[in-house]
Amino acid sequence: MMPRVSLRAASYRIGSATLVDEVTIDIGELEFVSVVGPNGAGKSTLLRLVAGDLRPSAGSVTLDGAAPSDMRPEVLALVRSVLRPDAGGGIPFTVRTVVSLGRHPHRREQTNSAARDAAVVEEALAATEIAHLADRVVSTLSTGERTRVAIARVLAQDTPIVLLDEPTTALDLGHQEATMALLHGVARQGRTVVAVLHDVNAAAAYTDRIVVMDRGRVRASGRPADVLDDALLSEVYREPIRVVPHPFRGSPMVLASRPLPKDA
Amino acid sequence: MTGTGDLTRRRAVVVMTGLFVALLATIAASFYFGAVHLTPSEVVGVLARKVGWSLGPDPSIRAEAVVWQIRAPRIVMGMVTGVALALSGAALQGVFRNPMADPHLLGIGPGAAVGGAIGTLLGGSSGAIAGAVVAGMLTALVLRTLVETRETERARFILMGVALGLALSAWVGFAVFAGDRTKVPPVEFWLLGGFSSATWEMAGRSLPFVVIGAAVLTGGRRTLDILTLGEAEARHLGVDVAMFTSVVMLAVGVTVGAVVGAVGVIVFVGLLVPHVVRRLLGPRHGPLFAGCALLGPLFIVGADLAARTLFTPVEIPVGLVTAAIAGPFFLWLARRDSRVIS
Repeated sequence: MMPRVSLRAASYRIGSATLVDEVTIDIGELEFVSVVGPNGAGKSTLLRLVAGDLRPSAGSVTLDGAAPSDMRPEVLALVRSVLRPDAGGGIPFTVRTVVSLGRHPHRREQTNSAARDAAVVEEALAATEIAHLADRVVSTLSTGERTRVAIARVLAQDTPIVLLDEPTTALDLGHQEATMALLHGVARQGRTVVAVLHDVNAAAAYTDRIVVMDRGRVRASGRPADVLDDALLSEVYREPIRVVPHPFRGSPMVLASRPLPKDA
Repeated sequence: MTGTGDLTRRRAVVVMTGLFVALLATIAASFYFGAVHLTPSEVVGVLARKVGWSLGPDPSIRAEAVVWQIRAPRIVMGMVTGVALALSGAALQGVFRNPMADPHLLGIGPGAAVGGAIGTLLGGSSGAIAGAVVAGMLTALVLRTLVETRETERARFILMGVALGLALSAWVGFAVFAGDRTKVPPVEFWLLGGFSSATWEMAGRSLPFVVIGAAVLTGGRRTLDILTLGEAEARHLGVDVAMFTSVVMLAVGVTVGAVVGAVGVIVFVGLLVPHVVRRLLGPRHGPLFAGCALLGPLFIVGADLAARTLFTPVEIPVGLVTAAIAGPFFLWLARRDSRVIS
């Protein structure tokens, strides 16, 4: 079967800097993939290549066989949805309006209807636990609440490929876990979910595959238990890191192991 | 209540009804007040006769001329201008997500005025509108090529627009002074505006362009809502942002050109009216355009009434009135509501 998302030696250069360096990955449906790595590793750039925001300088990026940067915007919007980091600062609309705008790409579809739009929007509001905020203006919400509004909008877009840049960074612990479980469920519904994450533990616990990036390159890609080890993470993050099994989840757990200052 | 969020249908109906009644009152006042004194029954008699009713005695020829040949086209042209400028301002503010975007401030109005002055030399009053429409579109295209990188450089974009506008205002002067000054209206007409030369013929030439431009702009209302989420978000939701921006700017060029060619540049309407309507009806572009289509004409017809009655028998340029009213009001609004500028 053809992979949903396929990168073949995809590179992105700007000036003399190579932000993404010959990345080759295939991602299929039902997969929840996380991309981790230090700041400046090229994670967001990789996601933007897949989203069609950027055109690869070399190599290829395809979604269901077609290059996203060559697709018409209205067609691409039915294929992939995108969550940007720090979304939604000054939006003057209510939460429900913003989530409803996620339905925009479907407005000309024969099978779509106002009733279906409304149902999908309500479902997205419930799934992200923001139904109680539906009539609030987005710009009055906290950063974490705004992130959940943006996730709801992405869910309402209802695309086979879902791309998220730091969906959990602004969230409290409870909502982090809820969001990771939600995205896991979204993948199991037959979608492909790719998320850039800073929380390696959340990535290890919930995602099927973890892609570790450093300096534009993929350093490792595979099941979290196979990929995450002390040497790789310590090298990539330039920081002493240990990986131990989670006491009761069994998934790998990443621990910072720098010696503490004496008075800490 | 949640402030500037989407408002209830009930509130929208109340506001729209209020604006409509106020517009009708302003129109009625504009028919009644003026340099020539007429009784209300004379005004009503002329208007009734025009729609086929005979009320009371036949109106005098003088009353008929004042009401139907002077005041009526002036009011109609004022309404067309108000709709054109308010919708253009709202659309530009939406497409650039910049509260200072305004067709005149960005140079499209002054650019159209250059075309209007040149067009007058070549083809009289009909040449003025054609020239201003062409020049309005050209200026919009120039601005469009200048603002390719607007996502990160909104302040620079406004500065460039202002510089373009100032340069083009000077070119209005060149066009007027280089041409035949017995044929071309003076610089202050082009840069401050005026309805004293409004005729039915002029309104008839201007209106089709404004109808087309307004149809394009209001047709983009949902896309403008999506752009409010951000340029990247709009792209992710299937909007061809570059193409949409070009279409909106060309439509603004046509719409603004059609009224600048007829009545010159009238400042502040495109800037102020959308801000007031947003406070009344919320930020979504459907209600915003609807409100602008009422408040724009209300503001212009009212300002023109003031321009021709404040210092009777002398008529002052209507742009002086709009700037004098709207400037302080905009300052008050901007200070009171930080969201206007932030």
